[in-house]
Parts: sequence; C-alpha cells; structure tokens
Amino acid sequence: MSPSGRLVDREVKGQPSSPRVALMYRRYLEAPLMIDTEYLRLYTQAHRATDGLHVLERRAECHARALEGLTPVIRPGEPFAGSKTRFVRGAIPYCHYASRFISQQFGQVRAEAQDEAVELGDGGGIARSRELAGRGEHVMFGQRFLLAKEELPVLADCAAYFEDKCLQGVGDALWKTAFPRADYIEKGWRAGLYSAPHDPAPEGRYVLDFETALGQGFRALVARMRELIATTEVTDPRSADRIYFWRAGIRVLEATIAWAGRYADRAEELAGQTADPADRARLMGIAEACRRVPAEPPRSFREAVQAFWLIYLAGHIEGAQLGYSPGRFDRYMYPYFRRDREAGRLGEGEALELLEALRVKMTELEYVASLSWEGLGSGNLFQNLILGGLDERGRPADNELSRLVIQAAINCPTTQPTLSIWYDEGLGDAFLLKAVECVKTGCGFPAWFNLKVYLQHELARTRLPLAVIRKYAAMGGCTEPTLEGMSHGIVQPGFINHAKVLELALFGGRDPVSGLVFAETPLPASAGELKDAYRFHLAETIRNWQRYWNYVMAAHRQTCALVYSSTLVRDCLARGLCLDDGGAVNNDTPTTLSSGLVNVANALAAVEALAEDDEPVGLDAIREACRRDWAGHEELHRRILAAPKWGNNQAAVDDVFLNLFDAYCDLVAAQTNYLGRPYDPSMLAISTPVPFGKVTGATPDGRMAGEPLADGVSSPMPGSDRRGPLAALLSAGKLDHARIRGGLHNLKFHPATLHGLEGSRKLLQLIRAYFAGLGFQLQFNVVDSGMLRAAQEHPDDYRDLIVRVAGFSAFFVELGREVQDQIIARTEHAL
Amino acid sequence: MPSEPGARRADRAADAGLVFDLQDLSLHDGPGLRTVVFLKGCGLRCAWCANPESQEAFPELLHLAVRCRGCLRCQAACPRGAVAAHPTGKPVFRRDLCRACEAKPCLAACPREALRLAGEWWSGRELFQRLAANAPYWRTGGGVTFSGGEPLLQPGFILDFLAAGRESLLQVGVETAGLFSWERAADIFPALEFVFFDLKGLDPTRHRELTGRDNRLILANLARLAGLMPERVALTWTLVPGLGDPLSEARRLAGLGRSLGLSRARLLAYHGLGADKYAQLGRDYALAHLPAVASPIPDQVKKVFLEHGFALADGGETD
Repeated sequence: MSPSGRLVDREVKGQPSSPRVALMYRRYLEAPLMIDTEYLRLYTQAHRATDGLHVLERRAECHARALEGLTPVIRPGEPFAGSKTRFVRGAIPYCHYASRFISQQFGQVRAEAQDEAVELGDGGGIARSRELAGRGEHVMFGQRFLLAKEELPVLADCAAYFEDKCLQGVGDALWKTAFPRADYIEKGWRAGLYSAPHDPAPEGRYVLDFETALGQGFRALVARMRELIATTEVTDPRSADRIYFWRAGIRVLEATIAWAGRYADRAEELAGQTADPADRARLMGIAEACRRVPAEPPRSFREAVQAFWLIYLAGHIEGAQLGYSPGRFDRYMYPYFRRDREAGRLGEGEALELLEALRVKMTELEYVASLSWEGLGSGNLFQNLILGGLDERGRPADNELSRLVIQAAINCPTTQPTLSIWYDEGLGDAFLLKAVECVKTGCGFPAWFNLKVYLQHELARTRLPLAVIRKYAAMGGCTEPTLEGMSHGIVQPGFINHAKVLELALFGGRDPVSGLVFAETPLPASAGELKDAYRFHLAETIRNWQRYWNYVMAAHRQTCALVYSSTLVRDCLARGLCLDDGGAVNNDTPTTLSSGLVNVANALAAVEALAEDDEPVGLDAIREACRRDWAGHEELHRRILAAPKWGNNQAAVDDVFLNLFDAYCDLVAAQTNYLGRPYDPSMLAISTPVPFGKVTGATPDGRMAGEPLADGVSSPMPGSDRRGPLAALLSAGKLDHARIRGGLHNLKFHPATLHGLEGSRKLLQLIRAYFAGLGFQLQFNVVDSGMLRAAQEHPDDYRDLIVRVAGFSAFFVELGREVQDQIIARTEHAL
Repeated sequence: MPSEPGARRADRAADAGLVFDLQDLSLHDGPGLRTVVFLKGCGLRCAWCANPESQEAFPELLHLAVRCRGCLRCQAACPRGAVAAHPTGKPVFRRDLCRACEAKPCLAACPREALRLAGEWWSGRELFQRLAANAPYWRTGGGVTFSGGEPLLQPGFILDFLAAGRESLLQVGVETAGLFSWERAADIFPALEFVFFDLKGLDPTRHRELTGRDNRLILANLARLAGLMPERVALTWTLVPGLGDPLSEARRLAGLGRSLGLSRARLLAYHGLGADKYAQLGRDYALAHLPAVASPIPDQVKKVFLEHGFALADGGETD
C-alpha cells in the first residue's frame, strides 16, 4: 500500500543490460540439471594409479589430473570462460566424499532415514530434467538431476570403488567402532534429533585470499613454495610434512594454470571457426586473458574478472562445497576496476555486463548431495557476496563497484550469489539507496548485517588486531561471518533439533515418536524439572554431536584435505600446513548449529504460566495432551496457545529465551573443535524447520505434531507475534548477538510500504534503529501475490502481514475475502 | 446504536483515553518510525471513513466473520443475551444490548479469535510506559502519532501522555479532522512536532451531507492553528472518487491553505479497505460500490498544490 492508499507493484524490476547476458540468462532458465561424471572419472583413475603417495600429494595429484583433463566449455555470449561441468547446470557427484547415497540411488533406495521428510520444489530446471528423462537417453538421478545413460556404469564403478575409501566410508569405519557414543548419533539421525550426515557436501563457509591470488599470481606462489622447499631440510616428521604440503600445493596450482591454458586453446579454436568479428574479438579476448591469469596478475578489470572466476571455480571444483563464498568482492576487485575507470578504459555498461554474466555463471553451479541435505538447503549453494563495510582504518569501504554489483543483481535476477551488506553508519547514501532499491525487487536480498556486532564477536574470540578484522570481515555462507582469506571453513556436523531435545526432556529421554531411548531421565513433574531435564539432554546432544564430528574431521584429513584452498588461505603456505592441520590464521570458525529454540522457549514459558494460573495445570496433563496431539485436550490447547510467546516483547517469555540462548552458547563453547579451539555457537535455520517439525510430536508450546518449527533464529513462531513486527524486533534485540556466529531475522513488507524515496528512507531508519542496539541481521521479504494467497489459505501463519496505509490500521488476514482479492489482483497487476 | 453502553467517558478520569488500536513501526504517519495511537470517538461520520470502529466514543464489539465457525460459544457466554443465532448458524450481535463488558466473556469463550473489542481505556502515563520500549526506534526522528477517531476530543489523555514523556526524545504529532474544542485542546499544541489537519471539504452544505456536520468550527480551528504554528501544520485531503470535481476543490483547498500561511500538504487517495470493518460492526458501508483499491492521485491535482507553493510532504506522493 502506498502512502496514499494506492496499491502498487514492486517498483523495481530488472532485465539483463546486454544481449550477451540475456542469452546466458535464457540459456540458464531453459537448462536441465545434469550430473557430469567427467571429473569423477578422471579423479578415480588417478586415485587408482597413485596408491602409495603421501596423503596430501595423492589428493593433489588426483585433483590436478582431473582438472587438467576437463573439457573446456565456452558457451556463446560468455564474456569470460570457465565451466564446472560440460553442462550449463551441472553437478559433480563427489564419490570420494560420500558414495553410499550415490550407490543407493541405483536401487532407487532413499539414502537417509530422513529423506522421506523432505520436500523439494519441482519447477523450472527440475521439471525440465523430468521431461528429458522421459525421452530415454537419460535417467533421473535423485529427484532433481538427469544423467546420461552411458555415464551410469562410470558412476556405478566410481561409487563402488570409493565405498570404503571416501570420507564417509573412512569416517564411518572410525567413529562407528571407536566413538563410545556412536549409538547416540545413529539414533539421533533416526529420530530427527540431528540433521542427516553432512559428508556428501561438508566443505565451505570460507573465502579464499583473492587479494593475494590476484595481486601476486599463481606463478609467484609456486616460486615461493619452491623456495621454501629449497630452504627447508627434513629434521623431523613435521618438517617432512611441510615439504609434502608444498609439493602438493605446487602440483595443484600448476594444474590450475594448465586448466586455464586449455580454455585459452579452446577460445582460439572457436575464434578460428566464427565469421562474426565481434564474436572473434570476444573469444580472442578470452584466449588472451586465460593465457595470462591466474598465473600472472591481471592487467585490466576484464582480466581480473576472468582471474577471479577461474580462481573461485577451481576451489569450487576441488571440494564438495556449500556456502563457499566470494567475500568482499567490492574491496579486492576495486583496484583493478578503479585503474581502468580512471584511465577511461572501462565503461559502466561493460562493467555491468561482466558483473551480470558473473551472476549467471555463479547460479549455474549445482551440487548433488543426499536428498536430505538438498532439501535442507533447498538446492541453494549459499554463495554470499558481501558489500560495504569498513577498511582497516575504520572508514566506510563502499565504492562505485559496490553499487554496480547491486545494479547487476537488479538487472540480472538470478538467485546466486546472494548479496549482503556490512552495515555501518558511515556508508554512503548512494550505496545504501542502491541496496534498498535491490530489496524492492523482492529478490530477498541484500540481507543486512551489523558489522559492529561481528567485530565484537571476532575480537573476543580471536584477539586478532581490530584493523585486520575490519578489513577482512566477510560472509562465508548464508548468515555466518568469517574472516576472508584467513579462516578455516565454518565446518560443522549439521543441525540440532531443539524441539526434539525438548521431547526427550519431557518424556524421560525416550523419543515418543520413534520409541528410541537416548539417555534415561526421570519424568519431569514441574517447569523447573523440565528445564533441568532439557539442559541435561541438550548438553548430551551437543557434546556427542561435536565429538562425532571430530572423528569425521580426522577422516577428512585422510581423504579430502583441500590442498588448493590451503594454498590460498593465509597462513597455510608460509606455515607449510594445510587447513586440516591448522594452517589457517583463524581456526575458531567451526560451529555448532541448531534450530527451534523459539519453540522451546515458548513451551517452557507456557508450562510455567499454566502452573501459576488460577486454575493450575500440571506437567503430567500437558505431557498427556502432547502424547495425544491435543486430541481431547482442546481447552488446554487453547490456554497454551494463549500463554505468552516469544516475539511480543514480553519479559515472561523473552527471559526464558535469553536463558536458553546463553545456556546453548555456553554448552557449545565448552568443547573444542578438531583444531583445538572452542566450538563457536551459531544459529540459523535454512530449511530445517519443516523436516525437523515433521519428525517431532506435539510440543508444549501448542505446536501440533508434524507442524514446522519456528523459522530463523529470533523470528517468532508464525501466528504468535500478536504485537506486530516492532515487538518482534524488540524481543530479538535483547539477544547478545555478539556471542554467536550468525543470526537471522525476517520482516515482511508489502511493496507499496516501501514506495519511493520516502519508503527507502524509512527502511534505512528501521535498519539503523535495530542495529543501534546489538541486532545482528535483518532481511526483508517484499510480499508478492503468492505470499498473499498463502496468507488467505493459512491466515494464522500470516498474522504479522500488515496492510499499511496512512491513518488506517488493519492486518491483511483480517480483511474480507473480496478486499484481499482486490489487493492480490493489484499486487499482480504490473508483474 | 447502543443506548447505554457500559464504559462511557463519564465513568472515567479526565486523563483516561479510549484507544482502539496501537500500530507500531508505522511508516506513513509522520517522520521517522512511529507508533500510531488510534483514539476512539469522533464527531464526524464521513461516508468513506476507513476506521468505522473509531467513531463511537465507547468500546464496541467487532465480529470477524472470516474467522468465525459458528460454534456459538459466545452466545452461551454473554451475560446480557446480546447474541442471537442466525439461521446460517453464525452469531448475530444485538448491539443495543451489548455493553462491551470489561471482563470480555464472549472473547474468552471464542476458540477462533473471531471477536475483538475495539476500545480500551488507558491513562496517558500507562500508555507511555507501554510504548517506552520503542524509544530506540523513535531516535530516527520518529515518535508517536495520535490518530483516530478525533484524538483532540481526548486532550487530557494526550496531555497526560506528554507529561509522562517529558524526559524522552519522543516527538509527538496529531492527525486531526478539526472538530474539537479549541479551549480544551489548546495546551497540547506547543508540544507537538506536527499536526496533520485532515480537511474533508470547503462547502458547508456539502460537508454536512458527507460528514453529518458542517465545517464552521473546523475551519475556525484550522485558522487558529495555522496562526499559531503554520510551519508545523500540514493540510491533508483525501480524494474520494465521485464527490465533485477534484480539480476545483483542490484549487479552493490550496488557496485557503496558502492564505493561512500553510506550505505542506498530504494528498491521500481514497481506499475502501475498511469496508469489512463495517460488517464487523454490523453496519452497512455506503461506498461499497467503489473499488477497494483506488487510483493514484492525478498529476493535475498534485500540480495545483505545487503551484500554490505546497511541498507534498511525507505521505503525499512527493516522489
């Protein structure tokens, strides 16, 4: 609703600014999702041939041979080269990470116990895959991907070969026999206490040191490693391992240079075949760039984009990545951009074309994991490009390139990379307004992050110099900050289901849904006893999960160490240590994740409130009602739903949440990660609320059995935020966000609410006010007609959707059907 | 209309205010981020009123038919026999019998939250305490806007609120339709950041037809207010389709505003989003034939105000 009461559509909508990008974008939209076995086949061949090599050299050799053997594919229109697979939307099945879920696909067996609880969308490229599968030359692999029939035996062979050699095979062989609490983990998966095994795509949530990689070039890094080898003599096992690491590093960097060279060859070949002079120029430009980078530093912005893409993509190919991110792109790319702009060599249109093309290329990347994990991530790769922030001296770091990156996202509405803003009061108006303009497209980004909070977090944890943290603060996944180019990945075993922990507490350690017994505890009879039991089970759940993951990391070091990435993360190269051996400057990043804490807070507050009511209700009655999913206990259910809920700025329940939050953070940090540093507490949700909710029975917050958990970290349970979005922000603002690595708060707006310059200003005022406290993150859903329809269907879930007009007050779900329909029609009108 | 409703002003202290809604995080009712306090009771009965529950100066029951499943627990709970059953099974509310009891037995009985009571009595101090948590969001240059209804019919309440907020950075504004007693409200104005003065029309006869009252007092109040604080008063005009020639009315309004020394205006397009609330109150909406979602303010109308030297302020489609 606009200020004048007029309903308007999203006022910002984009389209690719050049015909080349338009071609790439269309091609992407029409492409099916493909599995490509080329890398895997070459990798497996190499693995068979390299038995006996040092573990790092073998890993390097396998990756290097596979990379060198990849078919260089350059597609029409692309202004720079580099493709993960031979297909537009291609995924590599990394059997050396986990082959079980792949083998099981052959028998159409669902790989993980939780796969049944997962729902995937089925539009777009997924529908296209299914359509093509019907024609006979391909088969559907999993629910989303297509695989050429002739590649089936290759995949089957590689999967069988790696069965006992992959990360999962080696890891399972270790922890399932050596870890005293192995049964707890396996039960946890069956009961949905934990998210499914992460082995198929465990890498990610880190950013390479693009500054050094671009600024020095790979040849300089290779030369440095040669020199280090030449000046280091073996005196003990450690010095020997350093030499092995450098030898492995040299091998992968040289292979990456050779891989770039094959793109140069291919570009020249294609240039010779085309009659179109403009296209020949494009291809010769690619050839020239790929001859030079990433071996040598780029000489222009165009070469810098080519270099960035090859450096980034090579890391993406090396490991099964999720949340592997480009980081502070507008900082490390700016010198190349500015030099060309100041010399008059780079027009805005040309820069935009490159940046838009980069969006398409990053969106083309696909991954294949077990169905459970694809469902949890909704198929998203979580590549996060973060803009703005501060430089090392604390001055605002936004620049012309920052604005163009946002403009490219407006013009080219792809899902990747997701954009984020490091917010600081000093950022320029033009930059902030451009970011708000992007919000108004309804794409859901940029998300806004409070840099001040992260600086506090990282200062307290790492004690690195403030200047370093300011300069390299980046985002390494959906909402998890990291220090760019100097951090171990934010690796973790996956999510803990808080609502299931609560069920264990309520039912004496026995999961009422699966019947599995975890750790027997007395049935609690009061709110206080329930709280104590919850804390006990949470401690068990966290500790076992973290310890299990340390075993997996031990297996990771033996099977899938990231050699390439290690050469590009400080200070692995100088120390001669790969990431797995603690080579990174910052090893504080591994986190423990959880979701559903809001449900627990609401439940404990409700149990307390009902115990103290004029007509008190005991925990036995509530337990019984949960067991029966409230059937026959409707009056109790109603009273429970009416009890105070998180997100309404009410101390009674907010204090419960804050205590739980602190307890969670303390318990997580009580254990150390594989690299010897305390685990870092983090909270996010991605798509966990749905599968976690599905496997969890009714909970004392009034949630029905199977109903999704609360989304996000501090977002209220849908329907329970009766006091509106500001009260929800006030509740969320009470958390000490500096304690956790990550956090998330969603707000919904109708597009018209944000109409015009005035709307932009108000949005920025809102962000500023929330961040003036220690709020960490805000993201905005600009409502579309689909969401309004959903609100018609499920009004209780959309209570907070306010139709805002001057001097008028109403919630959308309380309007009559006819008026709702008119609003929907108007929202759709200009789409 | 109910004859002797239970909770009339006469039973209340002078600083009590009847509030029918609080809307936090409001973006369009003044500068910055604001909390709008909607006060109940208004002397006008504008045909296009979007908040009909704001008109009567006593609490009223709203029945949200979209949520109601016709279980009739409200009928059993009502101590005054004010709920009857319609042949369709849904409840029918006898507004003449309902006293909007403070214990709200019907609301408590309803399993679907299909009933709501519009109108709660607050003291200004209580309300300030409730809203004080919003203070960080007021530092955006925002604060509280009293709207309605006619907020200036409850000056004691607003003064009490202002007194409670004396040691805050709070900025307070008022949206008025101008029908109030100057003598009773005058103490409020020096403390206000802005007044949005919502003028319904200039012709006295026409005004009476559309709002039930003539506009002499309204125009007199506008003139006095403009004399007192011209730079803080913005003229608000809602353009309702089918009510005369908008261009000539715009010229007259802009001319009057300019002669009074005003320089800010807010132009609001009519919307019918309040239509359902009439049904919730058991009333008919006179403008049900108009589309709920209106057309934008025509550029010529904006131009008239701009030519008269007006800035179209926040909420006035200045962009």
